[in-house]
Amino acid sequence: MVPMLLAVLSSCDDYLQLEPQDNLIQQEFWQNKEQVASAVAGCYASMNQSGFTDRILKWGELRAEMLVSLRAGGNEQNMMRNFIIPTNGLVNWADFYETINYCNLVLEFADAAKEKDLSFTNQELANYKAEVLTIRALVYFILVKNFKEVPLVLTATSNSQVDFYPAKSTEDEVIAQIISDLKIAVQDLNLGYSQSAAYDKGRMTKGAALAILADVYLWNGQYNECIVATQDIIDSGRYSLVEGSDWFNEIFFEGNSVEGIFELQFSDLNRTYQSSFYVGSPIYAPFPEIRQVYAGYPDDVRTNFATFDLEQNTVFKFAGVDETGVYRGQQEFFNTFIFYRYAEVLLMQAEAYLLSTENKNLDRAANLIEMVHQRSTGAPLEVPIDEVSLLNALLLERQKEFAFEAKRWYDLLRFARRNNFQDQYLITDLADIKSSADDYELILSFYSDKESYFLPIFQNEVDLNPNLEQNPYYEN
Amino acid sequence: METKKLMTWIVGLCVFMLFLNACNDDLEDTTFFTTDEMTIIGTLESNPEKFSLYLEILEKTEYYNALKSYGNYTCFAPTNEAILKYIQENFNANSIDELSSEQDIEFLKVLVKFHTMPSGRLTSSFIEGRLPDTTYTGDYLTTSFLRGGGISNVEINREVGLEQYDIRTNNGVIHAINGVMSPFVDPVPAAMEKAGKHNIFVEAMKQTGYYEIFSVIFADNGSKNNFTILAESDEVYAKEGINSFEDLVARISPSDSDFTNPDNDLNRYVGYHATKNFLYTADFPEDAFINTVLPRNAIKSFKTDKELRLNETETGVDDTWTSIITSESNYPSKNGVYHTVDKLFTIFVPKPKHIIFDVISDQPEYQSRLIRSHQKVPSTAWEFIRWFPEKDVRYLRQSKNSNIDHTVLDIAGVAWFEFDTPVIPKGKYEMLVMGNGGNGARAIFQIYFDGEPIGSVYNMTLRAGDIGWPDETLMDSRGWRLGYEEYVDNKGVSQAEKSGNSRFIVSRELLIPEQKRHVVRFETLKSGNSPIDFIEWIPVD
Repeated sequence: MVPMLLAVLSSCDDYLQLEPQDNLIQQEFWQNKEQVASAVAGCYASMNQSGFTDRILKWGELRAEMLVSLRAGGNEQNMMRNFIIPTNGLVNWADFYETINYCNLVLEFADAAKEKDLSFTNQELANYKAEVLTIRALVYFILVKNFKEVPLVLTATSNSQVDFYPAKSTEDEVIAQIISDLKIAVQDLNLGYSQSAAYDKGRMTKGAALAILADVYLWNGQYNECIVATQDIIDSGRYSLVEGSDWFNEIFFEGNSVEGIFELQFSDLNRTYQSSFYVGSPIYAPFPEIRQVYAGYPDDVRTNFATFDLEQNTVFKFAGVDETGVYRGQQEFFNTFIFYRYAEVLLMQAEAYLLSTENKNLDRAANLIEMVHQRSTGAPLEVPIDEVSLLNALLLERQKEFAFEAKRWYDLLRFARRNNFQDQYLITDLADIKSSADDYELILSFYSDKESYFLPIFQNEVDLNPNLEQNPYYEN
Repeated sequence: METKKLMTWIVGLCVFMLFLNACNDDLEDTTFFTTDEMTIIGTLESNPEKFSLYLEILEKTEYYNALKSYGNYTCFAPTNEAILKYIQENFNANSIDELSSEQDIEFLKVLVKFHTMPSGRLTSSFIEGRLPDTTYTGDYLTTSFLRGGGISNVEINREVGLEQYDIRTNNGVIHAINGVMSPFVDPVPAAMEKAGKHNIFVEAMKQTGYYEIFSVIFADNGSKNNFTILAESDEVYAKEGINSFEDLVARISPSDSDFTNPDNDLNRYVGYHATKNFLYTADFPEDAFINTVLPRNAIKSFKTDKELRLNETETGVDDTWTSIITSESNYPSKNGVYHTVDKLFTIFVPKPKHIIFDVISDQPEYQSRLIRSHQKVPSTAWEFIRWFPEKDVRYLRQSKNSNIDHTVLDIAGVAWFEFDTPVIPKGKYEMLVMGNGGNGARAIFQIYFDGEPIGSVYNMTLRAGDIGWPDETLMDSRGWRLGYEEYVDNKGVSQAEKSGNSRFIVSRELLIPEQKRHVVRFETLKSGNSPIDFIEWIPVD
């Protein structure tokens, strides 16, 4: 009996082999440089999913006034009146944390791969890690602008030692992490990659990390640091404004212009722009007052058949081909998704010069705004040189320059929340534009609470994670 | 030996069968539900710290089982704290048990019915104004966003707030509320009197006899009245230098104190402040007349994006108008609603203007949903529509049709039917009528205006070719116009694109000598099914 038992026991050898036969496991994957490179590419690929870019567009535009719905879904229409409940799928951040996890994996395992691959240099390793740090910083910055407080997850969920129930970190903590990551990245990143323009614009570069950093500083009220970061980009000499006459064609139709700093590339179509703006069945149209936004400068190249098409009432910026009014076909949405371009760097610096205490410089700010303004209008900006007038002019210039580029809501929020929401009217005034005769009080009410300017955490996440506390306005 | 073997077998079999028998039905005594979600009652029961008192009320009033049953209800559940406060204040009681008299229980029943609606409403459907369906007491609840702060700050009936909202259950929605809503018992005048902000106007209602008229809850025909009263508050009067009822008399009717006489100026003034149309601020028409209780008069309503303008002068220079003070309006009561106007609201003589009279959706019975589409009713159910001989008739609301609000009166087989028109200011007008025609089975009518036949016959059987559709010149020569482009069906096809929805020109020059409600009668020449959509008057110089 005993020998029989032993025989059975000893025959277990193969049976205990638990590693899957048909798939690579983590430890086997991270063997060499090429595998790290493809994992980094995976981080980018995780962003050009419509679940990701759709939310970038909707979070940045729907709560602001620039778009109106032609046939948007219920979730979108609710977001357009800032009526957002935690079960609204649009607030699901899963795609964003997926990207963060891919980044964390690279940061965790790339070192091991370097040890196994002798051809993998320190510099290459540092550059790869800097790229994913920058991606992660960008994603966290988007999250913090939208949710204010989010869980800060810096380790990959590759084993069971990880905390699966992270609590929220404060806005300050998340921003501090973003800034420290970006500072490292700026050191290690290349200025460019000596390959195609698409590669230079589509990968994280020193310029891209600096642009994100400048934006974070601006959001966080660190104006002196913002001036330095933007100046570093300007001094790099790698970027310049395209000519006014080429504004639409080079920046938006062709993409990857000399102005572009970080533009997400698509191996396939840009589904977000295609589904939202394709002229045959657009979901959104410009708001009716769009023409007034550009009033006063008749030669502005950013108006009809550039940003919008007055006759057909469409968002031309992403759906159009040229000034004759030709549109992209449904299968021709080869747009990049622009996150940062040089015009924004100039306007960010202008904003910092206006708001910095130590380095306040109204003239330099005015000059910077002029550069962007005159490039498109060919006419000087007629604005008195004082802080309030220039800030107003800056906000308007940003509205015109970056219309529909998922910037407007954050611009309004950033301006409104300074000095403890001194300019909250910038947001509550949205009710004037968004309401019809019957729902003014309703919409005004939805925009009245400062906490409501940040999104709720998706109900499912709250249900699954006992440590995750719903954001204040949405507790019920 | 053989028997022994057999015995072994038999015993073995018995043992085996014992095992078989031991199979228990584990699921015995379990009831299966189609969903794991709890019912309204189940949800309330699982939160006794919040809802135990409301549950006690439900049990006591025997609505407990109703909210356990299949359906889709909205349950406004006051929290324990709120109920305790309410019964302390109103009954001087500290527990539900103490409320045991028959009268108390009857009241609690009304209370529960008032807190329950027959269809599930999530907060996403809340608006500034009344909710579209009534409670089981037949009253409309109102929701208000005036306090700002979004859903969590919504007020219901301008009285209670939400403690927790949108709690979903398998038979409806629960909204926990932080106070008990007082069921509407008072008609509008009494509600105004209790609120105490319109004392001068209330006195004027009393002196003119309108206090009683506006207090009638059910009309003679059994349908419920819904008055909308627009009143100046004492504060608004004070700005006009009116600080007492005597001041008001001195201003409106200085030389005649026979206030109950319908020709008295104060009597007319009060009558002009009310309408039988049921209008929360969100319901005021965008650009139309509202008939007042004062006969032959109307309030002109015009809405801009943010403002309601009543009786705008339309002179082109320095126009004035009256608005409603939203924060002091939309106060509900048993038989209507009242609002506060922002200045002295006197009788206004409007100029002729384009009037489109939707024969269904402009009726008070439609607006207060007393009569639903496809519901066949006798002519006495409508105050301003009549037909002969008596039979039950319905109206239709079909999105496949391009009619205004998709409604038509669906009438056939009567000798005549007639409508009281809205108040039409005196002047010269074109008069047109639109119904869904162009079909041989339709009717042919002679139209009468205030008893006089006018125009040629309205022949609804004519088809596109007969009326010259869509050539506008040809159509005009044959007495027809295209339908309107702005009214479309669910596929986006407009009246103008449907030959059957052309407008028939009843008269090109109809002189209306007097501002009042007139009567338009359709006399049947050839009978047939005749869906009538609207009648319109277009001023001509």
